[in-house]
Amino acid sequence: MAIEPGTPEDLLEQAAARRAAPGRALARDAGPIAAAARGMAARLRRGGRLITFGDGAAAADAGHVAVEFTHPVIVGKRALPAISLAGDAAALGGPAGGSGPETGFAAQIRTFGRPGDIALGVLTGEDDRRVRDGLAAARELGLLTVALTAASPEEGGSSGPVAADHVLTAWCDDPLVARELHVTAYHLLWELVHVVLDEPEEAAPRAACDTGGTCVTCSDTAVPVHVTELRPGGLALVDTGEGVEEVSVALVEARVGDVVLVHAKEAIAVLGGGGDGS
Amino acid sequence: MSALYPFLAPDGDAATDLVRSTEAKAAESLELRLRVLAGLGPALVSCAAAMAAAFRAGGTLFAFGNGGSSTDAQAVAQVFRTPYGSSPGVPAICLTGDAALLTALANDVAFEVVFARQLAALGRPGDVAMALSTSGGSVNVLRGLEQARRTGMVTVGLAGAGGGRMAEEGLADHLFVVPSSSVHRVQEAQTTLCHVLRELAGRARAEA
Repeated sequence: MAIEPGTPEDLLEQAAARRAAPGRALARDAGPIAAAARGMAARLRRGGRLITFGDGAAAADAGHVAVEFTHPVIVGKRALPAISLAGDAAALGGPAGGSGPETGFAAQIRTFGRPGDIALGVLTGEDDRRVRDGLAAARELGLLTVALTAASPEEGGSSGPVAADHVLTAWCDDPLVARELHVTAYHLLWELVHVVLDEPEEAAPRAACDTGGTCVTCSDTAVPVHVTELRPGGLALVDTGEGVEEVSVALVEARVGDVVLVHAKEAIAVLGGGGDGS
Repeated sequence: MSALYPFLAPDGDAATDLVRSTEAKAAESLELRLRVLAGLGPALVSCAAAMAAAFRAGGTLFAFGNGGSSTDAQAVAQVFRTPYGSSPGVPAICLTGDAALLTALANDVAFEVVFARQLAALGRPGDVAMALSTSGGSVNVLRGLEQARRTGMVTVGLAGAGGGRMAEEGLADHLFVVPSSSVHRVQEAQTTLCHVLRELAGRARAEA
């Protein structure tokens, strides 16, 4: 991306101008973004996990997406299972410069991914072979694949088509502006996934244990419960209001009488109150 | 969800509403980006000039933040060390990429020192510290800025909402506050501010 000559004020004006059309194009892609979020929500609702990856600055974005889902910035939003494959340098080591279906993200997807999961790859349009290989491996395994990619509006996709169930494109040939639009796109995906999850569930078959309301074991909602008994091995009996279940309290300092927030049978926070010190 | 999506009509068609609200959010994101570029323009130019001078003198950029801002800091470091147009990359590193160091400091001392301790060890006068925060109130980020200033570094701070303690205590030589209460919109506008700083600093360095 060539920077036009000029005073800093000219450059600022150009910087704003270069962002306007791609930003409006993202708004026009609201339909595909919402469709991707619906697909992701359906998988998450059934216990799928979100697996993210990217190279270069997109590795950072992969990490950002994962933390959005696992640790929501909005208090009260449920934690959803998500992990970035780009945060562990050792896992990506392999032979230097290695690429292909048996290295990098593809290898991690093959060992860690499950058919019900979601793979979200962030492509910068530059050297994104490992991300493409990761998405291809994910498709083969049956994961839902989502690609955030970038393409020049003139050329209509210069880096070649990406094989994914949902391809969300930043229509822009400046890598920095494209990255900005990816940040907006994944924030929107997170927000929309929660909107969809908050809608009444469609007529999907429900698990037997989910018909009566709260099942701490299967529910993907974080549920506040009362600790009634501590057990060896980091376990505890809790009162969900509709019965007693055994959950793990290994991650928190829970005492009998405490209210803890349980997600997928794991207490993830002590909401306080009640502990009698026993 | 009404707090996130006030555009959702209570009895409207859910699918249509979802698309309409997505359009509105994307438009809001663009509007905020353009508004901060317009409003913070002179401050961006002055900050970019100070950064360019630091890089010309051999300075290194250190970026840091928590959570999503930690990955945004990683991206900032990557964007500064990658050539952009005719502008070469500069030495830039993120202080959140080394899990051994972060966990050692947090476990052995306190999470508050995870950035300050690294800056005390690695930073030199004339380096640049860039702190990313949405609240402006994260203690470890503020202590990082304090340490950077003690060392004689150029300090750059990004915050949201009112700017928090970062603004109140004047901890950054160059402060950019994004006027939004949405963490997401703040981060989106901050990404643009960082990228434009990189564009301007590259230009200023090339022209000097």
